[in-house]
Formats: sequence, structure tokens, C-alpha cells
Amino acid sequence: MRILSLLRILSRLALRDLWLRKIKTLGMGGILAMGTFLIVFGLSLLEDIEGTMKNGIIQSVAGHLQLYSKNAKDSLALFGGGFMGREDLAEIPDYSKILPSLLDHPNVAKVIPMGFEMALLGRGNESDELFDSLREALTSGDTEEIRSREEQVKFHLNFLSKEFEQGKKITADQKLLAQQTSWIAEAASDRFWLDIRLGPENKMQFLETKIAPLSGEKSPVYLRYLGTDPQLFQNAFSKFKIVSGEMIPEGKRGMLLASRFREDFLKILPARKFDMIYRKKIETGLSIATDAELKRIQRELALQHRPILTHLDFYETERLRGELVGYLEERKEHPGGSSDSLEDLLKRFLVVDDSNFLSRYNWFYEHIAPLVRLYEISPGQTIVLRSYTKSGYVKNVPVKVYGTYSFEGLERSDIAGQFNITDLVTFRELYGLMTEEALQELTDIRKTVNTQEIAKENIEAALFEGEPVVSHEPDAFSSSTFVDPQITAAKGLAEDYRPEALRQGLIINTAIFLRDESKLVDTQKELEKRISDLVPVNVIDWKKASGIVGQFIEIIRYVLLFGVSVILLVALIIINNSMIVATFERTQEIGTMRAFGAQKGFIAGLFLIEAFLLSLFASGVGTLAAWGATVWLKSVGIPAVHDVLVFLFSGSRLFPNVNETYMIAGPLIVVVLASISALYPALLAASIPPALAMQENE
Amino acid sequence: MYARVIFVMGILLSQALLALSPEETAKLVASIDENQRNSGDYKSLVFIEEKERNKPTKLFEALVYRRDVDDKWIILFTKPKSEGGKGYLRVEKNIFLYEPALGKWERTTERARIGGTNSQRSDFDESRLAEEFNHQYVGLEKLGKFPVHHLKLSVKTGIDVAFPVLHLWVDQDTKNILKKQDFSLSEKLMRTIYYPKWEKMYSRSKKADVYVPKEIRIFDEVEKDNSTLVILKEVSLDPLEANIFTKAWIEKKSK
Repeated sequence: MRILSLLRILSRLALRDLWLRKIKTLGMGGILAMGTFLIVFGLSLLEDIEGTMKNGIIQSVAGHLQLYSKNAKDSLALFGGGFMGREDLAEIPDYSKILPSLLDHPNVAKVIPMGFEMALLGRGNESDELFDSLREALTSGDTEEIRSREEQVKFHLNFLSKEFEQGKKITADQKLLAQQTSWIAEAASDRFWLDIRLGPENKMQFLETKIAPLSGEKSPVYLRYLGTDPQLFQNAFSKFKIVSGEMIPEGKRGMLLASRFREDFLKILPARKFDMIYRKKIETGLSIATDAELKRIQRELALQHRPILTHLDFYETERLRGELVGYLEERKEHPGGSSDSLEDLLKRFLVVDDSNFLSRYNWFYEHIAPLVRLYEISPGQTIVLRSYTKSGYVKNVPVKVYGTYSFEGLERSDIAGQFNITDLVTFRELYGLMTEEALQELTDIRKTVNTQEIAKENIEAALFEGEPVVSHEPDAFSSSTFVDPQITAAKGLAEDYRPEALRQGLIINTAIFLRDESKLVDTQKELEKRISDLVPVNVIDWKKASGIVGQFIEIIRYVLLFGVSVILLVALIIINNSMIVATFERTQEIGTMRAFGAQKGFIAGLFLIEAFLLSLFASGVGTLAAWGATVWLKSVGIPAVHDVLVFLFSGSRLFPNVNETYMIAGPLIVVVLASISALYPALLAASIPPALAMQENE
Repeated sequence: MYARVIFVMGILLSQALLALSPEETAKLVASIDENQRNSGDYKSLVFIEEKERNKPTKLFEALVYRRDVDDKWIILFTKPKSEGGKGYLRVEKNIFLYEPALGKWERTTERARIGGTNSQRSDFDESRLAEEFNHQYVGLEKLGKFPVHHLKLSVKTGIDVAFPVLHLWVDQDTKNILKKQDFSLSEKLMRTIYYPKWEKMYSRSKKADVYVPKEIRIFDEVEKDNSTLVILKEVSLDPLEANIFTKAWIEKKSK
């Protein structure tokens, strides 16, 4: 009872003092409130992000644990390690040797074999594609098909001819241009098409060597692929979903293109530019008039008429021209006459601004997209992947694309959308490790030539000190002849494989799902020990396996904790200092209180209560602000304005949750620390003797 | 003291006297081309060994067919098994790659690496030094025991070559190149190539002797550990079939 009344008196006195020093109180309170806000809001948000990111990483490709060879020169980084170039990960030569031991562990639920590599996507320009089709038609002898291809080629030649006509105004080398124009004219002549039916080889060579290069070169596309057991992968990773086409059938070699990769690299350029503007303008709310990047994309879009024109035949061109005239006239944007070419109309159509963008975007997808090949590769098509194999040789492997896929919630993420999935059999072929048999063959070849190994340092002495460099044929008047050796063409990989092939042979890493995630650390250690008895391996958790993005959250956490620490430290120093100053300012008052019988404990308690009340009130305000901000953001969502954020949020928006633990812990930490910082001034004030008050009076 | 000065002066004077005039240098460059010019068809069976840093050594055996008059050549790989039947067809500035496992062709740029090796299109072309380069005489030097002319060649304006500056060390006796260094436009050394063995053969089409390199050693000066050894096991200068430089011929041959 006595303590309560004492506390009441102390509290009233403390509140009075705080009120009398309003400005200082407000300043100190503000800093403490901010510190509390950061602890409660920042750490809650971080925990939410970590939760979504963890789910995204584990359920897309990593699993709870990843296992890879200890002989790897680089660390496994599924989503990129932050450095350019291919990672050097060693192989696990035979998966069948480690699989039983992995599955034997009581906490291991699923094991998914994997391997990552890069391949080059072989592709010619549009002329190459047209001429390939024509060659196939001529070989087949199908007259209808030949006629159809002839029309396509002639239309393309007509388009090229117009382009070269325009090129006359800007080309410096007029002689070369004239020659190229004459080639186009020759290829378009009736005589040429009569001859091609009689003897196609020479004429085809003319088209392929003289005309095809005139369309320019396409830049190469590098394709990152993940070799795995496709069925196992589909069943294990809950975020995996087929977007178009179908799943790779069991026992068939095939590929699933990442939907994001296809959108970013294999879509026709004008569509890509339209999509980029749509995302920035419509989804993010930026304006073409004010945003510099949008303006740049807008300028690039305005130049994209050519890819559309090259995809159209004569009838489609006429139809689209008519429709486009109607569209532009309806909007009074067709000042030209009805004689305008489709090229002119498209050039006008592709100039977009804030007012017409959505209408143009919709019209493009409704009327133009169905006429053109929107994507370079579509389900059902067979593509050729070129890889520089581990044996050093270049390998070209055909693989059928069965469909496209994405990870649920990560559809817009470029980081998550970089893996194109294939089966392990195709992966191993592209990886191309040197076999014992191949090595023996090379030794045999070398023996037949009897080459001399010479170090570069001694080469000139070794090569030019001995015999004369010129030898003569025995009979100087008859050149040597030799019979061509027999050529055995390398066989391609079969389309089918035995399902057990996926459980045997080379892999690079495996994803491991656990039954009980809480035992992750122990299981990680146990597996590493257990498998290393068979093959030296590293077993790492999902966060480490994800690479730089997984570490990103740790970086944010450290930055946030550092920020909070600095703010709290500043607050505590200010509290400490201002209370010391207050002690000196209030010497007379304290002395008087002591003279009236106030005990040292009373004086110290007064200062401690002051700090306590200030920090309690301030941290309460900070916690309330954090709660309010979280509740508001939960209703509207935090937009993922960058690809990394899409990945971290596992979607385009994050809806944060109120974290009760931090709402209690945050203010508690602030109150305790503030009270501790008031200890020294409180003791200093308590040590003021009553006589001092009298001396001051004198 | 005087004796030493006279000796040095003498050396310099003899160098100056031995140096070739611009006309003589031009004649020498022309004779390098002429030595190798066959004016007809060419066929060889070559062995290629390719070494690259941190990578396994690659070996190839290939047939090379060349028709200089039309600027065409074919490289058809015969060994190892995994490469068997792969072919490159060069027609003018285009190179087409044939993949027998796919039965498909791909047009590549003329600067593409042949078969993933350090060899380039120009390595398989006919020598056209006089036509494509301006020349400058550097000096008379010795390469091992061979006295050689050291020449510097710079590409003529408007001509596109892989390496715009070349240094050649040419055997005084036979007028064959023994050593060549390829430089970039900024005169950075890119490759050093040695031609230690030549064979003199009679060409029916030229109706004269031609020199054919039998061994070529290429050292990459950028990636220092990379090198290529080319050995011409067999060479024939007999006329080839008329229709050989076509896709159809290669497809048929590498079945």
C-alpha cells in the first residue's frame, strides 16, 4: 500500500518533470518510438519475407537440403552466386551408389537427382528458316508444298528488295548495295524458279549463301537447363505447374521451357516491348511521358515493324493492312491516303503514348499476334541445343519441347524463371563427360600420328635446328593420291530411355526433402557423414544452396539490426546525457527534497520512473505505429517493384502479418534499455546532499 | 676501340645491304603466295590436336577439300567417333555446319571457331598476302639455323581479315613461312604459328611445283596455355569431283 502511494507520488513528480521539459521529452520520446517501430515493424516484415522466400526456394527447386560433390571448385548456388561465368561443380559419378543410403535415413522423405548447365540455342535468321523449309519441300517433291514455299520466299524477297531500296539513301558502299540488290532481283526472277525445279542444289546454294546473310544475324540465346527426373520433380516441388503444352512423358527425352525465359528471350520483339510497357505502365502505374525507361522502351517499340512484316504472307499483309486502316481511321490517326503501305501503317501504329497505349496493346494482341509466330519456340517443336561438353567437344543435341512451366507465385520472377527442365539422359549427353572408351580412342588416334610434344619455350630450337624444313615427293611429277577413309557418322540420341537410367549414372546434385524440418541441422550433418563414406559430398541447407539471393535476407537483417542498434544507442546516450544535465539543473530542487526528508532511494526512483514512463509511452507509440503500418500494408500489399523482390516475396505483392512476439519484445527491450541508461543519472542525483540546496540559496 | 666501332658499323652496313627494297619485299610476299598457290583442287587428311587450359586435350582427324578458284572448302571429320560425319562447308563468306545426328545444317559466321578448335576460316584459305596486305621489311634474322626475312604486313583498307597485322619470318632459301605472328588492330599479339615442315609437290593444274605445309603449330598468346597442332598426314592435288562443294554431297558422304 505504502509502495503504491510512493509510486503514485513518484509518477506524478516524474510526469510533471517530463511536462516541464516538453521539447527534450518529445525529442527523446521520438527517437525511442522510432527504435521501437523499427524493431517491431522491421523484424516482423523480415520474418514474413524470410517465410515467403523460404517457401519459394524449398518448393521450387532446392528442397530442404542440397547435396553435391566435395570436389566442386565453386559452391552450389542454384539461383546464381553473384559472379559471372559457369560454376565449376564436380560430378557425382554414379547416383545409384548414394541413393539407397539417402533414402535409408529416417528423416529423408524424397530425393530428386539434378544437374545444371548452359547450352546455346542454335538459330538462324528468318531467311535461313524460309530456305530450310523450301529445301525440305524440294527434297520431298510435293508440288503444292513447293508452290507455297515459293510464294513465301518471293514475298520475303520483295520485302528485302524494298528495304535495300531504302538503304540506298544511307549506305556508303553503293557498289555492294547494287550487287546485293541484283542478287535479290535474280532470286525473284521467273527464270530462277524454273531452274530451281530442274536442279535445286545450285539455286538453293545461291539463296543460302547470297540472300540469307542479307537478313542479318540473330544474337545467340544461352539457355540454362536443369536435368532431372521430370516426374519426380513434378511430384516433389509443390510450386511447379505446367503453363502450356504437356508434361514430358515418362521415359521420353524432352524439355519444359521456363515460361519466364520464353517470354523474355523467345517472344517476338514488338510483343516483348508491348509487355514491358504494360508491366511498367499499367501494373506499376508509371507514365510514358515522365518515366525515362518507359520512354526508351517506347522509342524501341516504334522501330519494331520489321519482325511483324517478315512473318506475314501476301494475304495476311493485305488483310492486316485493311484492318489497320480501319483502326487508325476510327481514331482519326490516319492522315495518309488509302495507298499507305502496311509498313507505313505499322510504323504509325507502333508509336504509343499514355493515352493510346492500352488500346494499341489490346489491338496488337487481338489482330497482329495471331498472324505472327509470337514465340520462336512452342510446345511440340524440336530444338537443337549446343553445348561445349566437359570432354571439350561441341555437342548438338535435339530435344523436343513438350510444354512450358512456371513456379506458382514466382511467375514474374526472372531469378526463378531461369531453369529449363529436361531429363537426366539429355543432360548427361550435353554434359559430355569423357568416358574410358573415348579416352582410349584418342590414345589410339594419337599413336597413328606419332606427335612430338614440344614446350613453347624451346620450340624454335627444337623445330629449326635439325633437318631441312622442305621434303620432296619421291616422284616430283606425280602428286600423291589417297583414298578417303570410311566415315561413320555419329549417331544421335534415341528419343526414349529406360526409366532406371534416371537412377543410375552421373548427376551433379540432389534436392532432399525432409519429413521433419525441425531436425534439419542434425540430418544435414548425418547425411554428409553417411554419404561421404561412399563419395565425398557437401550437404547444405536451402538458404546456402540458393546462393546470393538466400544470403540477401541475412544482409537485410544485419542492416536492420545495425540501424536499430544505432538508433537505440543514440537514444540511450541522449537520455543519459539529458538526465545528467537535468540533475545539475535540478540540484537545488533535489537538495530541498533531501532537506525535507526525501531519502536517496526516493530521488533515484524519481529519475528511474521518469525514464521508465518516457520509454513506456514512446515504445507504446512506436508499437502502435508498427501495428497500424502492418495492418494497412496487409490490406493493400507491398508491391514487388524489382525482380529480386518478386523472388523474395514469392509473388508480385507481400501481405505482412502482425507479429505478436515482436510487439511484446520490442517495447520491452526499449523500456529496459532506457531504464538502464537512467541508472547513472539517478544515482548521481541521489548523491546530492541537502546542504547543497542551502549553499545555493546563499 | 676503333676496331669495335668499325665492327659494329660493318654489321649495320651489311644488314642495310642485305635488307630488301620495297620492290624486293613485294616480290617476296608475292612469291610466298605463289609458292602455295595450287590453282586447282586440294585434298588432305589432317590430324588436329587442341590443348586448352583446364580442359581435356581434343583430337580430331578430318578430311579437308579445297577449291581455291571458287573460294570453297569442306572439312569433314572422320575421328573420333563422336565427331564422325560432322562437316563444315565454306562457300564465299558463309560457313555451314552439318550435324549428321540431326541431319540438319546451320549457317554460322565466317569468324566462327571450326569444330570448337582455335582454327578459323582464314587458316584453311588460300594464301593471299600480296592481295590483302601492305608490307614492310623489318630485317634479316635467324630462326634456329635458318636465315629468314622478317616482314611486317598490315591489312589494306576495306579488307576484312581475322588479324589485321602479321609478322612473318620467311625462309630465305625456299620463300616459305617458318613463323607467323598474328596481331590485333591495336598490335596486341594474338597467336604465334610455326610451319616447321613443308612438302614440295607437283601440281598438275598449276603445271609447277607447290609447297604444302605438313605441320602447323599454333600457340594462343592471349590464353597462354592453349595450343593447336595440325599435321597433314596425306595431301593430294588431284582434281576433285565437280559437285563436291554442296550440302547434298556432304549429306551423302557422312551417312
